[in-house]
Amino acid sequence: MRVAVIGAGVIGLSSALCIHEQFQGLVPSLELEVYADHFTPHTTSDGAAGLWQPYLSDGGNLQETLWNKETFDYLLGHLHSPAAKEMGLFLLSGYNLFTEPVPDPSWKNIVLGFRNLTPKELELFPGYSYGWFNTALMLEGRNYLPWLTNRLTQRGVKFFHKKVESFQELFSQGVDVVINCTGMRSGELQPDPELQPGRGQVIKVLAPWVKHFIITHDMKSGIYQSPYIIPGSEFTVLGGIYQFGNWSEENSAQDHRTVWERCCRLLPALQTAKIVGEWTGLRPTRPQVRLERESVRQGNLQGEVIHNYGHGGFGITIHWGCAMAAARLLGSILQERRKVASSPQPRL
Amino acid sequence: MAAPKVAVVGAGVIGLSTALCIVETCPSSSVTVLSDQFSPNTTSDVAAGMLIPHTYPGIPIHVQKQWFKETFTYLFAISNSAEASEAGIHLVSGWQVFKSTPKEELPFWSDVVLGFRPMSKAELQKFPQHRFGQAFTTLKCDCPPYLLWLEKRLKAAGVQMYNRKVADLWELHREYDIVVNCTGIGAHQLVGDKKLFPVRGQVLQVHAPWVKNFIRDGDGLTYIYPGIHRVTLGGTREKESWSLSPDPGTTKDIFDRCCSLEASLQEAQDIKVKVGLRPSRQCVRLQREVLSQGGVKLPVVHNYGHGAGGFSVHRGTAKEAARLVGECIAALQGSSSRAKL
Repeated sequence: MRVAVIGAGVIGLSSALCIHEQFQGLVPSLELEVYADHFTPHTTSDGAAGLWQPYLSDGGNLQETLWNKETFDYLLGHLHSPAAKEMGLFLLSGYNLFTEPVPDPSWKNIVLGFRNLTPKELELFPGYSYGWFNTALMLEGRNYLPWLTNRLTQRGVKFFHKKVESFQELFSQGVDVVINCTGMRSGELQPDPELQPGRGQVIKVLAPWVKHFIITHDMKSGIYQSPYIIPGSEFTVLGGIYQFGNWSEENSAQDHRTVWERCCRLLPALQTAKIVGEWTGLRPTRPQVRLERESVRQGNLQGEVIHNYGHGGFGITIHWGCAMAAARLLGSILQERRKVASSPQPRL
Repeated sequence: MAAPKVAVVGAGVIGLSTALCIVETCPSSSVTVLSDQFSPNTTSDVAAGMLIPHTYPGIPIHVQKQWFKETFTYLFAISNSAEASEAGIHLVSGWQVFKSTPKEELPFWSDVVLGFRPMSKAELQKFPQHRFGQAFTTLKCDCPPYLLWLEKRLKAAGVQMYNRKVADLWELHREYDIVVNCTGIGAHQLVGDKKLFPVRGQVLQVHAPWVKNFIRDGDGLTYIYPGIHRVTLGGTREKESWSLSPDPGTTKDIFDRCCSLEASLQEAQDIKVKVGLRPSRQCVRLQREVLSQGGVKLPVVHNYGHGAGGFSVHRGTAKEAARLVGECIAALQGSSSRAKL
């Protein structure tokens, strides 16, 4: 039974690991492969700051809220393991700032210690009159992806550095199931007008005195269009760009100025911070995540595709819940083909 | 009289902040700092500089609270300014955890720090050996940066600083009109204060930049304080120990205790061991005294004995010391004008 994952960002690698952990023992003939044209540190996941935080509103999508929660709880459980540092996993507290009162988010009881900001705390942020404080998690892509890669390699999962041009290409090679984790470029394998880029640009600085994330919100402009500051283990990420429909992966001088000026206004001490990098990435934006099975047939080639893409700016936040859901879909396929030895559906 | 000449003896956080307050409140005076140690070799440099007050048994709580509040307000403004990183002042959030619920669940300073509240059950799950906890946000003064920043401001205000070992305060009476004694543990010998005793603290300063929150055991013995470049792991409270040599057994013990609070510290790198002697006293000695020999008088203002709480109250006590210096100046001017009559 050959299963091929296309994509080696956080979604592809975590789906592969989850599938291997769940089924390797149950399906002795399982052969798992990962195909990608970009690997860490060149994926979208590598550029993200890595903060676990969903969007402000789940838009009624309770399924995504549940996947977010599953991811947070899974990561929280790993905090004390010896692997945490290698995974790039650590606790981070911080501030969400608003210019007006807003309803509490869907994730208020998922994170730790969620509360409103006191008037004295708001003095730190002139121009903002309302806000939240909570402790969340950081999962840095530049550490997590290599960690996932090592776990997969240890398990004997094969990696192929190649650009897959079509699902059929893999089916013709004998692959039975494809897990499509191609993020922004999913449209190249199967057109999807709902998938659009949400272009972001960030500046990386050395500002080790910053110990909190600070995320501002402009309810009129929309998510990520207001300055944010996220301190990592090696550098601090300054951001605040979200351009829907912009496919350019080049850094823009104007966006640099926007991010720099706004973040320095938010935290004046940043003016002395040393800039060590700049990065542009395309958030694979979709009204909702595409996580579903599809039977794909062309001529006499047929195979199952499990789509797992369109995680926008919350890929890291939602990844494990989605990986488990993808594994459950694979489980159904395996059941149908009676590939699983007579045992009940594994509890995922 | 001409500009009164004030000598501040001691260049730790108390000496430098006191000198700065004198410059601010007594602009007519000429201030000089004398010390045999400057940053990075003062006791202050070993301290993590966390604004979490120590309770002095001999001082009324409302006074301690006032000192803490003044210090917190002063540093809060700096942390919010463009100078924050140069001054080494930054906000840090975290948890104080207790193995058994403390008698006093609301310390006197709970409304001075930010966002103080009891920890939730979910937060306490991270600390299985602890049953109660408090979450809050406070400030940290990293040294050397903070002391160097104070030195810079003093130099800009025309204050001279000299490396000099003062063996006896009286030796300064010819060159200076007023002496301010901020010698910390040095006062034990310098002025023979037997009520002052060292409480030895050993700490580890490690590279663990993923640790962004502080964790402190309510017993005050085990703590993890993330600074700008290093995390301070502590500690010990050894009364009457004068040893400045790091003890390897203690190093291992501190490391183990901190790892049990934060497992990821096992991966900490580049461990540096430091020792400081907290200049401890029932209460801070913050008072005027007049030394006299053969008809010659030397007014002295004492500001030492801050023990484990130096950073937490430094600005408050510096302001009080400066006020006392002002009284000394007024007294001198009063007597000099009487002398003219």
